[in-house]
Amino acid sequence: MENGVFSVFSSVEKLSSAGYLLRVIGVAVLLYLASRFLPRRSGGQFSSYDFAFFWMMGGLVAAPLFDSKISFAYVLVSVATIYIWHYFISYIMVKNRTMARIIGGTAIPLVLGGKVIKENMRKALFPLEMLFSQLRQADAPNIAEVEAAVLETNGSVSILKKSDFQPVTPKELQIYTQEAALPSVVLINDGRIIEENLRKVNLDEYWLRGQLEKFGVFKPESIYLAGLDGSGQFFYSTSL
Amino acid sequence: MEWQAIFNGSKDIPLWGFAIRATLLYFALIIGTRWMGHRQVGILSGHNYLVAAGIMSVAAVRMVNAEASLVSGLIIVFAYALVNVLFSYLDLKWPKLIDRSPVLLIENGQINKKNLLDCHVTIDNLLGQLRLKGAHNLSEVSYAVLEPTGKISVIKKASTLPVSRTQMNMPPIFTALPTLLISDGKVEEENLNMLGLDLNWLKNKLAEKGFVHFEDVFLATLQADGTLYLSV
Repeated sequence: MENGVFSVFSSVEKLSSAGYLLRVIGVAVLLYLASRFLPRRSGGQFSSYDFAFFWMMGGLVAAPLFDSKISFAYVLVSVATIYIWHYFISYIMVKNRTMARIIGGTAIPLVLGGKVIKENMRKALFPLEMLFSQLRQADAPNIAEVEAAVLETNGSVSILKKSDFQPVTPKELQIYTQEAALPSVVLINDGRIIEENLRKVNLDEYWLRGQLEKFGVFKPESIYLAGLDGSGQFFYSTSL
Repeated sequence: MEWQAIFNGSKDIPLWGFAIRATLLYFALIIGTRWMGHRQVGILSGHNYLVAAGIMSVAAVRMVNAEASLVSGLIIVFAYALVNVLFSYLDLKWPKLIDRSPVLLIENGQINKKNLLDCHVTIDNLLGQLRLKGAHNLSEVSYAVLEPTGKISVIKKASTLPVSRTQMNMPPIFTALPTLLISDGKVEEENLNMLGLDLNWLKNKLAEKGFVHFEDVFLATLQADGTLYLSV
């Protein structure tokens, strides 16, 4: 304990329970910092090298709790190195498709033209049972309905149904549809009118009150949420 | 001397030594996961995922432990990948032996109580999963299957599904996966040739939409209905 409190974060032979407590706090801070800079890819879009990253991070950040001899300095250097590599590789993959294919792999078609491709199934080590399981999860329990199925690089299977089994679209029935535009505008949040958003859509409080009165609401304070949806329709919800 | 310390472990490894150790282990892991293939990543049936995370973090812990050797960490990674590939291969040969089989939780609209109990799925779990799949009423569900991966897939009764083209007596149309023709300004000639098309065809198509250079287009795909989708 000659170096004071900070010695618990460096490599030591033995550590007291209080020392581990301090280390847990240190790890928690580190975990928080690490999660702030996590690769931002939409959910489920992680590919194999992201998993390499996650698997390592889990063990790495918690490593000082495994053994008192593991210093925080080692962990920090290792974590920083891996982050740098990970960002570098992610950058290269976006810039260069050839590299992306080498590192991330390519999507493998498992079914094309309604026929299962045995060769690719074998190459991807993909048993039929698993294909059926994936088709069920993709809402195509019947393989006869499937025109194409592709094993994506994130490990899930996407499917395209045969035209006979595709739902009818409004276009085919020549029904006019309004495009859903994003985002919807919130005008009242928890009883408070948001003037800024009202101005953005060129409306005023007078108009808003008028809309609410149409629904028999005379006090905006009783509204939990009100606004305009993508197609310009007014919506509101009272709080219970 | 220092290099030996980095690989075999010793009491005093310089800090930059850990940077090298981390780099080596990281790339070993990338190679390992690539080798294991896509099925390991997303689907990860029972025998894969949980162990993977654990073993890989053990390798990572060894890496930051100055006295442990890096070589042993690398061996852990590759040996694990090897075992995994082996299991996947065996799964391909004898699916029944390696993987768990899917279990019917709802059969012909009736909940199978015994299977729920066997698989430790509570009624609330089941109802929650059905809701997430958009099946709020049990009467809409024909089958619910607990997949080997632990996910529950829902097969709705045909009468509650969206109307399909055959039910509307509409003629079949050609469907296929769209083909990538231009990506980030570069023409995918291989895909063009596969479709029996050439650069001139693509150029004419682009000219129809008012583009002269391929580089002006970020993404172009040929869709099943024969139209070109463009994104600038």
